[in-house]
Amino acid sequence: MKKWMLLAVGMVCISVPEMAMADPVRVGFSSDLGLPSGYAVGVVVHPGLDVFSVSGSLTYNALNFGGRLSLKFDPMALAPRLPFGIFLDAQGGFAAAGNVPGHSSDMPSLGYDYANLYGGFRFGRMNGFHWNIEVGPSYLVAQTGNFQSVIGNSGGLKVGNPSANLWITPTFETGFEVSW
Amino acid sequence: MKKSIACVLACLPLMACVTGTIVEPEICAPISLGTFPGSPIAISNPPPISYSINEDFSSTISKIKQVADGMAVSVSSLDLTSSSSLGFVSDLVVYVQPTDLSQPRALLASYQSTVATGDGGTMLGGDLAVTVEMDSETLLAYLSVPVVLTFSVVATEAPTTTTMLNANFCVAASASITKKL
Repeated sequence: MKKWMLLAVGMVCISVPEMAMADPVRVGFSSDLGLPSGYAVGVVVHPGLDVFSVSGSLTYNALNFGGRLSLKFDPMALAPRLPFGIFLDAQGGFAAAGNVPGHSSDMPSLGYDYANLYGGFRFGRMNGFHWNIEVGPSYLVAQTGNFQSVIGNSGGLKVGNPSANLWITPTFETGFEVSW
Repeated sequence: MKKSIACVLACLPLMACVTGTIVEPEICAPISLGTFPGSPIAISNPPPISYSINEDFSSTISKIKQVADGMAVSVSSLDLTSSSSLGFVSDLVVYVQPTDLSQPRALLASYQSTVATGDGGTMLGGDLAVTVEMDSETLLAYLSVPVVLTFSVVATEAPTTTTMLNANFCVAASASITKKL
């Protein structure tokens, strides 16, 4: 335990002289995979302060495309030479309504909005290539469509499309990010 | 230290759970009741006419129950409709009873006109909103099996022409969901 603490303190000491009072604006890109967002590729911007980053991503969840915005707080970015870090990531996104391929007539469509509140680990320096693993709860508002097709001919009943508000714990996301 | 991290990671899947609510906004049964006979000459207090229709909400309700628990249902709308005036309707009572007679016939909803006799005849087209008399729990118990809906229509004065009567019965359902993995 002491070894780990000494190592951490040592690395911070090495990094402190490089701490920037005003960081340059950094731009990069990211790619990750997770639930409920699916596969995502996006643009990352560090707006002149390395501890914060904003990213916008295009997502695909096998049913349809969507989008996601992310605001990340990485306090360990104050020590830019540290090859690891922990961070908080607040995300909001949507997945447009889509059908399981080949089942548009016999299965309902599904679309959803979601918010993720993640805590994560960063492996690699913040201002270069690094891999992230994020875990946390998700709040999901799902809306189905074409639900009548699932019920079938139920004696002339007209069935509306169900919706759901769900907390899912945990969900995850993992992928890389590169910024310059 | 390594053991602690490993323990937390191992526990994460055990804590996995989904909680929330599912809402089915409406399950509607468009009902064609039949005709209410008209009379070219004024007839006061014609005999009440009852219309019985079989409806089955049970398969839809059971499908929701399969994925959720803690289900509640409510009547989102119950209307008597017609392309003609419904001003002649003074009272309407709707009963529900399981087709297998497992439960007694129960009052589902009622309507009583507040319009003075004769005045309602000026209504063009008709849509009578019926007041639901049954609580959610009882309603769920009844609609979980196929039922017979009986509409009993009372008129203070027979309409001058035969009137086609329809009804629209819509139920909304909500259910909580808690799944632990």
